[in-house]
Amino acid sequence: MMDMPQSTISEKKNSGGIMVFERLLIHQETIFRICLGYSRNYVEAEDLAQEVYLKAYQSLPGLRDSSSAKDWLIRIAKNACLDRQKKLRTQGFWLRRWAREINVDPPAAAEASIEARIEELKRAVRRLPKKLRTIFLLREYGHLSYEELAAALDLNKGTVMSRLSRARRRVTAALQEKSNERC
Amino acid sequence: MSDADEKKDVEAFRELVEAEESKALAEFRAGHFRERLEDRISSAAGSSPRPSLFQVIPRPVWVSLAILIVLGATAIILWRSRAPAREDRAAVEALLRQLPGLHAVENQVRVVSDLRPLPMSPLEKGIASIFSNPNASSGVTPLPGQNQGFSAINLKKVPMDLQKLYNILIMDRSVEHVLTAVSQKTKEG
Repeated sequence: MMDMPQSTISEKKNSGGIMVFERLLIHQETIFRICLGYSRNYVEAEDLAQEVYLKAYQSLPGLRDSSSAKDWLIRIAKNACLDRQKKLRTQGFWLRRWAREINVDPPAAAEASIEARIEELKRAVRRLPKKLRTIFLLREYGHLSYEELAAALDLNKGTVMSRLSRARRRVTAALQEKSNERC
Repeated sequence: MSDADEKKDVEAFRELVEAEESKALAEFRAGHFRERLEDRISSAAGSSPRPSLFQVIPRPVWVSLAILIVLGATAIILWRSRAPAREDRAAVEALLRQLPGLHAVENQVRVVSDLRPLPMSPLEKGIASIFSNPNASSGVTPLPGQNQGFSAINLKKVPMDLQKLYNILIMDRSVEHVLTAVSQKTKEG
């Protein structure tokens, strides 16, 4: 069973007794932004961010090096987001099937509002291969530097840069295609 | 890809990302994330999730079960593939029994073992009873069934075991070889 929070969650420490959970909360906006990139809307993103912190809270005693806390937290966020996407993909499959069965019309051709374009961007990102998607979201939503990306994903800087470039190109191409369809 | 192209690519979506982010962040900052997180952690700590069956049973047990299932399936497959072989064996046995040589051997053996004494004349019966039971002459009556002698032998016609027939054939061949060898030596001598 998990440790009970006694008075406040900030008292939770890692195995070395140094890292306080409070310090992890400094990165909450970064984590939220990453979750936002992976989710469809604000509500889902906030829920995911909470889940990430809950997981971090539960596994905090296992964190030995407090200097790498941010990378550790980002890794938890990435895994939690990918898990959630996998779950949603399965649910989405059944929902789409159900919608086809009862003849629910797909949403009408989106007008070029900013929300519709954001939705197009999200769809384009979701279609990226996992490796490219992760890099793209951590960079564009999480605002991580190349060095931070390399540390969080255990890659070298060159790989990070090339993957990011490929991801950007694909996303741009998908958005361009949508834009041409509308015209 | 040039830097200009890359910049153009980034511009295509950066505006969208920023638009989404600014709106969401405003809500997030006003949303008391920390308090809600504390509530969630407290409620998660209060309710210990019921462990599933997969968690309760240790991994080696699952591995052993999987191995047993695989072995069982293999055994069934092997057993099923051998079943036609048994049918083949029966067919071959039936074919062998049809062979004239084997048939003859079987009949010969049966003739010998089926030997049954011919019905005796009253005189023969008397002699036989005297020889088989010397007390008869001294006035002792024979026990019932004693005077039947060999007539009790009545073998049923059960098909002979192939192994037995094989042994008989081999023995016949061996005896034949020995006799041939002996006769040749005698001739030379």
